[in-house]
Amino acid sequence: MENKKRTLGFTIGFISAVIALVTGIVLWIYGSAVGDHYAVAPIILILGACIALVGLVMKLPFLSILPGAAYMTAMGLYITSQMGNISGRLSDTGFGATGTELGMLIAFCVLMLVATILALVTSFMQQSKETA
Amino acid sequence: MKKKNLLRGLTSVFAAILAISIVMTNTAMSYASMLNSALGISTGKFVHKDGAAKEEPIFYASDYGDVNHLTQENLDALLADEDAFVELEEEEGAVLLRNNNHALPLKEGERRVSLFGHTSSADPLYKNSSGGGNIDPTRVVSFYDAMKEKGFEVNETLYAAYQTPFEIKRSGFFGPAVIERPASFYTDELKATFADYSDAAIVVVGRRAGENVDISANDEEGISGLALHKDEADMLQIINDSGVFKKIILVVNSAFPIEMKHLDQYNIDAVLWIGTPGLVGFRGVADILKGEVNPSGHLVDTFATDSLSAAATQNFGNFNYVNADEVNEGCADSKIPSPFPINYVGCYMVYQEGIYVGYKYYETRYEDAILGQGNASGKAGTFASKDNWNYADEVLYPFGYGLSYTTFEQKLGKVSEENNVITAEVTVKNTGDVAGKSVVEVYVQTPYTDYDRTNRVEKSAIQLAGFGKTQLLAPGASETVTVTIDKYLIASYDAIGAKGYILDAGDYYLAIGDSAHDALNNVLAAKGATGLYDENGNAVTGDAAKTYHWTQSALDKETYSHSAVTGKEVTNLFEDADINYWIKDSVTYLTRQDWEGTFPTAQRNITATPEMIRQIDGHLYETPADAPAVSTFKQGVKNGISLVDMHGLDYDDPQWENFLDQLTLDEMAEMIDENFGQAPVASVMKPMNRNQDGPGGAAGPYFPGGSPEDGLANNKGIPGSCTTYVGQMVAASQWNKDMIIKRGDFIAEDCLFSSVTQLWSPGGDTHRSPLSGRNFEYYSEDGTLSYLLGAAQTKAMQAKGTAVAIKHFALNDQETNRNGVAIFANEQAIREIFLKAFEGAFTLGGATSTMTSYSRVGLDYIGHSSAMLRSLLRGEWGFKGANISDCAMHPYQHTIEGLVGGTDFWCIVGEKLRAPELKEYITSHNDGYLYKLLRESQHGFYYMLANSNLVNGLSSNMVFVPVTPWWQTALYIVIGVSAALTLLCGTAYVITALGTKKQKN
Repeated sequence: MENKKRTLGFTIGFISAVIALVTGIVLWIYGSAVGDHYAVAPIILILGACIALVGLVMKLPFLSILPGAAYMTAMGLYITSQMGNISGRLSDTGFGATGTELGMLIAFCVLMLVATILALVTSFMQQSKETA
Repeated sequence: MKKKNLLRGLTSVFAAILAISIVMTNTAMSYASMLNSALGISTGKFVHKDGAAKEEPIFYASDYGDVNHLTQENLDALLADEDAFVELEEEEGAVLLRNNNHALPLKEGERRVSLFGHTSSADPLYKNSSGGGNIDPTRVVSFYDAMKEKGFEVNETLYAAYQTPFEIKRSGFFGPAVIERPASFYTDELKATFADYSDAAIVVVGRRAGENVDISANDEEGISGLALHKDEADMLQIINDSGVFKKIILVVNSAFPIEMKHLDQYNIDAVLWIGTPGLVGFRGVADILKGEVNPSGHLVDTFATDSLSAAATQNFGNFNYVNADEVNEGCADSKIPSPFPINYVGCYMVYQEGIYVGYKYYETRYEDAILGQGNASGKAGTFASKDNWNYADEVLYPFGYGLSYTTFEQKLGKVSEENNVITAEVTVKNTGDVAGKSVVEVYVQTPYTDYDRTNRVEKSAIQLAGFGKTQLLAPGASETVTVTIDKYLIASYDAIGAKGYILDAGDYYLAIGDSAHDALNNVLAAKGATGLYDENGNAVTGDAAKTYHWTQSALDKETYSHSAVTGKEVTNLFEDADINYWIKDSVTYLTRQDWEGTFPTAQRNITATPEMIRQIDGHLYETPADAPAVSTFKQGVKNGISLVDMHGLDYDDPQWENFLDQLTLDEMAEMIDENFGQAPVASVMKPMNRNQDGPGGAAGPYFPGGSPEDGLANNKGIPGSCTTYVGQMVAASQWNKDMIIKRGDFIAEDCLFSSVTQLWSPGGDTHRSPLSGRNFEYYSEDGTLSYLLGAAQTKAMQAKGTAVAIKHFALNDQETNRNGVAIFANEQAIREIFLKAFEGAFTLGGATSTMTSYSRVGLDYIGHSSAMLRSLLRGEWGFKGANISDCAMHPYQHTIEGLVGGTDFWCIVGEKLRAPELKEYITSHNDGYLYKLLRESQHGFYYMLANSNLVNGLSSNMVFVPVTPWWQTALYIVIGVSAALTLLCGTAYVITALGTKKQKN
């Protein structure tokens, strides 16, 4: 009889991937809605999430090395793209400000950070039980 | 934990660190000059050659110490003087608008006061949200602090109540324009405290706007943002109803002219306009209230009864082409993904008012109404008039208006003319009881002739020509003030007949007056007119003795047909900025021939033609067929000429060619990217230069770092923002050139102490509408006043080594749609009103730089407009230096067309560097024409720097030693270490995993 393959590592990795996936999609939609048409970060997030899911489902643990790096890259690129916005809003000048609200920007960054931390944690863990 | 899992996890962690560090390093490198500028780090230093004399020349000295080795003691001395100066600025710039029964100054025993209004206590408006200057919390003095300092006893309970948080209902990008407590705030308990502090209720009202944000013409309450709002009205009603206050004093802490038609309703005794008082200017306000200082400021804008009544305001705000979608579709820039939700191409604005901006509208219409001409008394344009248009109903306080605690008598004495310069002597006597200063305002009326009517030349009935101010006059004392007037300033631009400036044949009147309206009444008296009245509607007779009359026998088209600076012929440059050029007879400009028929209406029906769309698109450059090859120019020649060697050389000196030969295409192209500064260039010994905003004072800290070898101060880490001065329009309201010169001098000192070379200051745009969100950065609604003040301030700043970038050149007269709005105006208005405001800074002040506007002149982005930046600025006005764009983050600001049009470098490009694009274009097209333009542009750039404080401390005996900033080293180490660890752990993981698999097998 085959044991159930779900482990805590699997669950954390799965949650991480879902957070990244949803964040990527929402970021894309929100960006388009407020005129911040910036696709690179969402694409990398979604790509990272897909790699994580494939790794989990296909039981390819080495793939868990990649999502953390992908999410961090996405976060870095997103912050980079928002530098003008951040500076414009914090300086009260509006110099370079875009449609993205600071609160939303911070929320996206926090979500990406959470996804990253979870992805890193899961990479230390067993993601599937041995088959009997 | 299994070893395999541990290694996988570690690989994952290090890979994530590697990823983020690579991305952030890339970002940081893109913003390197901005970061270095903020951290005060230089990317190189200049050291003396071995055995060379250790000289550190001073080209632009500080009055406060050795400019190459400034110390904290030097700074302390400067700040003490600056604090005193800002206080003085406010004292001379504040305008007393109303003073019933001598309510002000408050008498000796009147010291127990209640401060009302959110702005009085919780949120004093030191400055608006943009325009440079930062508030140093260790130096700032609030209104409350100032009042206490000056001996007032303030209602502490009320003050404390205002400090409690409350919900601000209205929204806005920078918060609402109007912030006030609701009536419910004034509880019975609070009201009970009024009686103990009832010598005066001092009510402060304010308005907030700024970069990107105009004052709304129709806000959440359905009224103009400058109208009295419900919470404000309720507060005044409560104060009035309390019946306990001996006096009610209104203090207007707003750069914008708040509507004040309800003063009688609330029994307001006195009104003091203070604008924005900067860091410590509230001390000056307290001095005025107390009577230690006699106010002497006069208005630089008309205060209308209804803020929407100006002719210009009929076309202000958001206007889009009927076929805006088609315009977007036809413009490549609209298809470039941009983080900015901005319509760069589909918006426009028609300056249908022509030259009738501000007082030139109200006063000219008044004269025509008095003389019964031009349908001036019709219904069109009535906002506050009870029936037909009436000046006294429409205008509350005219341009140039301002009261004093004393009275003055002004007599016009000798008037003479020599070499087209008129000299007027005005004797001023203090006829009152206290000492004070008096502003001498000299106006001119030029004839409005049949020639003008035929050629559609418009004439303001009165125009400011010059001004002066007395010293402090004791009661009974007199002073003769001499005012000189360049007749160029009263010439009219004739775009149809002469295609140049003219002086009409006919009668000219020079007049003095306490305001533009007073001067006009004097002119009308000299012309024998009757039925005159003042701004309050009181009948007056005018005083012909305060005028001087002369007659010009013939139309003069010659005197100003060529530039006095360059000798270049003056002719039409902006015909295509007139919407009628593109769509025939689409707009009729306001003319005094028919006020009723031509008063502006909102021009919302403009449909862009295909030709217009092509022009808006702006991708117009193609390499000329006869462009020389790039190889025909010398590059990278080792001539051994450093930047400092070029100091003081004429712009046309042949040595400049040898200097420029040393530069390579890469070196030249890299200078077009600016991030609050530009990197060093070793080949020509150019240090890093720092650039900053703005009109209210340099935005940035003192002593940001650097080294004397870089040319400036060596002190590090001493906190403190540069001084914030009073708002520029408050500075203008002083009507005092000496004070403006001192302001320029102090700001330039700040640049020395903060290592700033180019300062984006002063502001030169026009207060076209009272709603314009950045009026506080500019001088006035009057082009001549701005011309004269801009010239004086610029000259003082340049003399101390600041590269003055007067901004935003030009036509940036509203914030709504500022990114790409097409400004349609006729040539007379463009030249006489909007460009005149800048002209003095270049032709008299010697500005070596300017920050260009986001707007379009007609359909051309001003950064692309060779008519503006080459033919006018360099051709007519003789500009020598380099101009910088406004923040270059937008796709409609084209690198190539910018260079062709005359833009020299791009402001705050961030990561969107333009140098690669330019280099690629020049190289791939072998475009020597563009290369030549780049080289010419660099000529101006290095001329600006060679004649700036950047060369202080530099000598030919130095060599450049590159220095890698510490943060770059740190980032490289992080990348290197994390890459190595990733590789190490990854390899170990693979080996372990393979081993495990093998074991299992």
